[in-house]
Formats: sequence, C-alpha cells, structure tokens
Amino acid sequence: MRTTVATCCVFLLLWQAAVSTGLAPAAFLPAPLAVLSAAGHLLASGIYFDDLAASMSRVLVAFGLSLALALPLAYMAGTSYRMGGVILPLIGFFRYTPVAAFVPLCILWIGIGEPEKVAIIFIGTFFQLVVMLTDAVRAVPEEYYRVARTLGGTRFQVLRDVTVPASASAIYDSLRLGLGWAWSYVVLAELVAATTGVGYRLVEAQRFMRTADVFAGILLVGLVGLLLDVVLEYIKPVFFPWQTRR
Amino acid sequence: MSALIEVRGVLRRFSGDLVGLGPIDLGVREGEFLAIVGPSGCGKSTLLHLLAGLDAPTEGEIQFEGARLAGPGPALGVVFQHYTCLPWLTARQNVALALRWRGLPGADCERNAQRYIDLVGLGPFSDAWPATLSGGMQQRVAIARALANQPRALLMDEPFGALDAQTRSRLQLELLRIFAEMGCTTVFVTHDIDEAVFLADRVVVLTPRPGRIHAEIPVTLPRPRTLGTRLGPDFSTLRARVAAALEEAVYTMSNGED
Ligand SMILES: Nc1ncnc2c1ncn2[C@@H]1O[C@H](COP(=O)(O)OP(=O)(O)O)[C@@H](O)[C@H]1O
Ligand SMILES: [Mg+2]
Repeated sequence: MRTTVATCCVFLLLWQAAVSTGLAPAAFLPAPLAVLSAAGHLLASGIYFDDLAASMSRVLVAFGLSLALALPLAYMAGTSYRMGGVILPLIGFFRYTPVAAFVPLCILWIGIGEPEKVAIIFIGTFFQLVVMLTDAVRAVPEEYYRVARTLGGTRFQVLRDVTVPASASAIYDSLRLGLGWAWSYVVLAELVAATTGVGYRLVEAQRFMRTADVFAGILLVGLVGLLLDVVLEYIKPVFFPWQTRR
Repeated sequence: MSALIEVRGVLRRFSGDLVGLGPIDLGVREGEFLAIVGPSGCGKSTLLHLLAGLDAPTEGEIQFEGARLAGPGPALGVVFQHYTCLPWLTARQNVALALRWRGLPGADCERNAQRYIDLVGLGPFSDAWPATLSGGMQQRVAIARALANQPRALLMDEPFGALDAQTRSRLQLELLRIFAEMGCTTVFVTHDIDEAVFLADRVVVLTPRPGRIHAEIPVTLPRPRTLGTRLGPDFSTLRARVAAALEEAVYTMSNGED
C-alpha cells in the first residue's frame, strides 16, 4: 500500500515537472492539476452525467442481451459434450476476431443509431461470455453430480438445484469481467457516429483540441470502470452468503 | 436365504487391460453390517460405486432386491470418502434436498430433515453452512442426508478416513447407535482393521488390485458395542485374525507376481 502511494506520487511529480519545465507543451500534455480541474468542470456542468447515463444504458441493454443469450448456450455446452462440440467452435472464431473489425460492418448493416452501439458491445462480450460461462459450468465438481444421482434427482432438478447454484459464483466473477469489457467497448462504439456518451465526450474534446478534457475523460471512464468492478466485488457476499470470506 | 444385494462374478476393467476389481461374488444380507477392508488401491471404492449403481460392471451383474441393479437412487444411500455437502445449502437444506426432489411438501421436508439432523447429533447446527462445519460434522450431514431417504441399504466409502482419531472414534460410536436404532443394512469400506471389527457383523478382506475376496470373517462380538468392547480379548483375537488375513492377501499376491 505504502509503495503504491509512493509510486503514484513520484509519477505525478515527474508529470508535473515535465509540464512546468516546458519539456512537454501544455497542448500536448496538460498538467495534473489542469486535468483535475477539467474533470471537475465536466462533472459540475452536469452534461457528463447525461453522458454516463447514455453510456451505461447502452452497456446494460447490450450486456443484458449478451447474458440472456450466453447463459442458456453455456449451460447446454457446459453440461453436454456433444452440445459443446456444436456450440464452441463457432463461438471460437468470433472470439478471436477484434471487435473493432466489426464496427464498419455494423454501420453498414444497421446504420449509426443506438442499435449499432448496442451491437458492438454485444459482439464484444457475447462470444467471450459463452466461453467463460461454459468453463464455469464445466468446473462444477463431478462429486456433486454423483451425490445428486444417489439422491435421485431428475435431469431438470439436478440442473436447477446443483448445476446452477454450483456454477453461480464463477459465473458472477465472469460477469464482473464481462461488464468491464462492455464498458471499454461502449467507449469504442461511441468514438464513431455518436452524439452522446462518455466516448463521444472524448471525441468532442479532441476535435476542439481540449487536451485537458481528453485526459479528464479518460480518467473518469477509468474511474467508473474501476468503481463498477470494486462495487461488484464488494457486494458479492450478499449473493453468496455460504462462501467463507477470506 | 436370498441376499438384499447379490454380487455375481463382477469384474471392473478400466481403460486398456487394467482390471480394477474382481471377479467378485458377494451377498449382503438384509440388516447386516458388512465391512470391506483391503490395501489402498485394491478397488474398494470401485466396488462401492458399483454397489451404489454409479458405475456398471464390465462383467457379471449386481442384483438388488431380487432385480438387476439399474442405477443409483435414494434406496441406496451413499456416504463418500470426501465431504460432499452442497456448500450453498445449509445442513438441513442438504438433508431436505432429496425429500424435496421426491415431491414432499415443504413443511414435511423441513421437519423430516430436522429429525435426521437431530439423529446424527447436529441439532444446533442445522442452519449452518457446510463451510463453517468441521469435517466430522460434514460427514454427519452426509449420513443424515442418506438416511433421510430411508434407504434399503447404506453404503459408506471410508467415511471417517480423513478425520482425526478422536472424532473418528466418536463417529464410530454414533454410527453404532444409529445402526441399532434404524437397523439399516450397511456396507462400510475402510482400510482400518480396528474400525471394521468394531463396527461390523462380518468383515470381507480383499486382495491387492485387482481386488478379490480373500477371506470373510464373521464378527461375533455382541451388540450393543461400547468403547469397552475394544478392550476385550475377543476384540483382539478378531482384529488379529483380520490383520493376518490382510497380510496373507498381500503376501500371496506379491509372491504370485514373482
Ligand atoms: N476411472 C478409473 N480409470 C482408471 N483406473 C481407475 C479408475 N478408478 C480407479 N482406478 C484404478 O483402480 C484401482 C482401484 O481403485 P479404487 O477403487 O479407488 O481403490 P481403493 O478405493 O481401494 O483405494 C486403482 O489402482 C485405481 O488406480
Ligand atoms: Mg477408495
């Protein structure tokens, strides 16, 4: 902890020094304090909260869609090797194709409205989610299934009362990761042909050469992503009270 | 007299030519407590899984209540070597799960489950998560869970193997009490000769892999058995006989390979 703080202080001091000595022109690299005040202005103006709301709603819609489709596929692929053989190879191809490669196609097919933004986030998260959630389902220990069989559960009962709860914790962790990706893809989606959103705010600042605002935008996007992750980790015990806390 | 479980010429071969067990012929009588001992790796767990219907013999067949054993189910309660409580369910919910699956109304499930939790002496811990219970307590939950289904037979695979000596000794006494109370036919796998003699009506000694029956030793010690039973001369004699049989089984085997 102490080293982390020290590293940050040294980093900020070097940054400030580079700007104060004129080593880097302010239009290129604004001073830390300038970035902080730009961030303050962004937040105080209230516009930024509209942007946040716009970006967040895109993320939630796209990620919700992603999850709704990925979950059943993952349960199928994770509980049956035959289904896994059908589903996973297809997913694998898209998983290794960068999302950015799909942006032009999305615009070509569905235009530049909201659906296009949602589609990009969906493409970025869906295929990864299927793979990660399948792994989570496959990681359910064989012993649980053995116990379930001796207790006489039907296929559906075992799925509902063993597979689902046994994989839920790992799935929750995957969702935390996935939401992080969704947050970065929404910025990507908003760089092109958007009029709202945290990504759009970055592009706008760049167009007007307001470098401090660009920096502030990056800072806030990063902080929001971090906050999401920390909050999700912090509230996990609420959903999984049976796990012993470390 | 026909047995509750009848094992006929059962052999289990794993991938390749590796024979894990058998051939074995064995009858488990209604109401008896049968212990199976053998060196580690001889196929005890394999045999128990076969008896539970979790695995199918490569050759031979197993009859349960006069019909070919089709698969696992609540009529054959199993307690595994490892702690197998479902960690997202409390102790009582673990016991109630199978009752719920059978369609018992919620209140009956809870009441029934609580009865078996009480039976294994876990009353005050019925709402505890398994992660907060000791190994011995988790095995008690597993026993309660198997018994709550009122099985025709209880199959146990070294259930106390991972416990410390004191806890193990306590659980052995509890198991004797439960056996006396419920009279449920029990097959108990162990590599602990003391444990086998103390608990069982009959001890079957297996040879090293592939496990075959080397000897069957009836245990004539009267019930109820207490800690004092272990101190008597009859206990020592029986234990020595089982130990000798086990040693002989291992010795004969290794000689045969030379
Ligand atoms: N699924 C399996 N595949 C291959 N070999 C196995 C399998 N299960 C058990 N074996 C082998 O069969 C033998 C008996 O195993 P096991 O029944 O677990 O022994 P025990 O319970 O007596 O220690 C061991 O040598 C083990 O390596
Ligand atoms: Mg074993």
